[in-house]
Amino acid sequence: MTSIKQSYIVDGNDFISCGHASEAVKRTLKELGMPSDLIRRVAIAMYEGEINMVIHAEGGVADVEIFSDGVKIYLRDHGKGIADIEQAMQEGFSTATDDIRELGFGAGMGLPNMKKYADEMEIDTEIGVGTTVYLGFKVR
Amino acid sequence: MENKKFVESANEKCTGCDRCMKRCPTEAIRIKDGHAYILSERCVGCGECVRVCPNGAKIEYYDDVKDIGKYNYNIALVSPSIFGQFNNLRDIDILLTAIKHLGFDEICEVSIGAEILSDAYSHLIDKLKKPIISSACPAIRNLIMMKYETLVDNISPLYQPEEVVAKLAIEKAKKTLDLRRGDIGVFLITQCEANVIEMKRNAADIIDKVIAFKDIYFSLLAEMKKIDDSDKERLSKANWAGIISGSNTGEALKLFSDNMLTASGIENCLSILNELERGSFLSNVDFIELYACTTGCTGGAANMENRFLARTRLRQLKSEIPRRKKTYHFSSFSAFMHEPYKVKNVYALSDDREEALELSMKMHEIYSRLPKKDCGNCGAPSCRAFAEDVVKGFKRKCDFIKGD
Repeated sequence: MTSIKQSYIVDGNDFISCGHASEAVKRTLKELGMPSDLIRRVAIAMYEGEINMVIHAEGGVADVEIFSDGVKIYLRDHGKGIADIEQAMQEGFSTATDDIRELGFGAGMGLPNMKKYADEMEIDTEIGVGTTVYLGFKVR
Repeated sequence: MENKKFVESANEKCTGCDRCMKRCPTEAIRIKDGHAYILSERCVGCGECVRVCPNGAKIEYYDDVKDIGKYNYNIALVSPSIFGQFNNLRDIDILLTAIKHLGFDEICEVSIGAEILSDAYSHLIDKLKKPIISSACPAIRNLIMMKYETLVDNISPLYQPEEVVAKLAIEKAKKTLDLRRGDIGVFLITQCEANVIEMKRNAADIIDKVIAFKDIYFSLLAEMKKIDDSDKERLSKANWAGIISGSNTGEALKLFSDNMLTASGIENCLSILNELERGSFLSNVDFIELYACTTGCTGGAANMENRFLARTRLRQLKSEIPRRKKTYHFSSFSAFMHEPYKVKNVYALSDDREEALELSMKMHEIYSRLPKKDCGNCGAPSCRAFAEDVVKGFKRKCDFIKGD
């Protein structure tokens, strides 16, 4: 099946420009004439993923594969890993510092929102090694 | 009217410089054979290309002033930003009477629509998705529908003030004068091409003609000089809050004073929409009012006066406007609501997704070989647009790569 593969480096020190990867993916999806519902879900969930990588893991890589009927996104980082996935998936739970919250991030909605907007989600994490979040989206 | 070219570039005046192309917020302009060319479906009518063109080559479509008076009953809807266009105008009624003398039977102030909408927002505040993005500026609304799909649901479904007064004026004329719709001509007098595009596409049932303020300016000046107290009519009914909506301090000032955000100028609006789309400051703000033109409607491209001076003059009118009793009372505002706005994708490479995918791959391959300087020398506003044009079949040559 034909697909477009894109890879983006998410800079861990850059709060301001964070969101460039999801922005670029959004543009590609628009070029493809994807349904707006899918574009919205991908844009929101992927941006949450990018922010997570910046806040918790000093950045990482976003690998994106776009098909005519869906999108697969792998967000890979080499951060500290997630100790308790179930807890991390709860709305409002966050390990972000107060400084980060002051900036308007770290509300504990990142992973729950990603789950809400994606059709498939898998988290692969190891303490001290890193985390890979897989997000799958299908045209509905 | 859907496919009409609302803004066109006049080849005989256009020198093919790329100022307009670089300024356009939706990448709607290309340079072809030494002249600018506008992709109409992407034009939101923001007026940027009109203002930046040093040769006056951008022509905005407005209806002909000769149409005024052609209907049995001619109604003028007057935008409040126009009140700031005259030196020493102390009495709005002089201006409104002069407009009436151009051939109208009735004058309606768009300011009244802004007042009604302010009431509407206080009724609906808990029902609308927050942050509410004001629907007042049609250029901003169209920009969001084209570029910001995650924010489309935040656009207020309420009418623009122009549409509110148009609807009320038609109802009143039908009822009190026993006229049929076909007898009534509703003319919007405005400074704004985005209004033209919007009214022609989506409100043609309530607004028949859109007239540019600049096209009646000189006849108005002459007419105003003739008016003295004896033939001046008492036409103005609006309050200050409605009148100041002609500049970017806006319709909702009172209601949302502590948690609203206002901005004007296309660059500022784009930066706010970008941040909004990423989710920043969503929790701090309930109401967002954005105007594509700097200073709001006073900055419209078909106005005559410097926009900042026009705004100051509008403010100076404050002491001249008496407090008036509202002439309308509504318990429901459903008559002034649009269907929810929908995303309008003008960037798809093909209607067929499989084909679009192929084209997109080709486009990214081409883009990867481009210098990413976005210099504009090729006639496209960015390297990305260059790649887009090439896969769509337009010939382009990049100065920085050999061959091709």
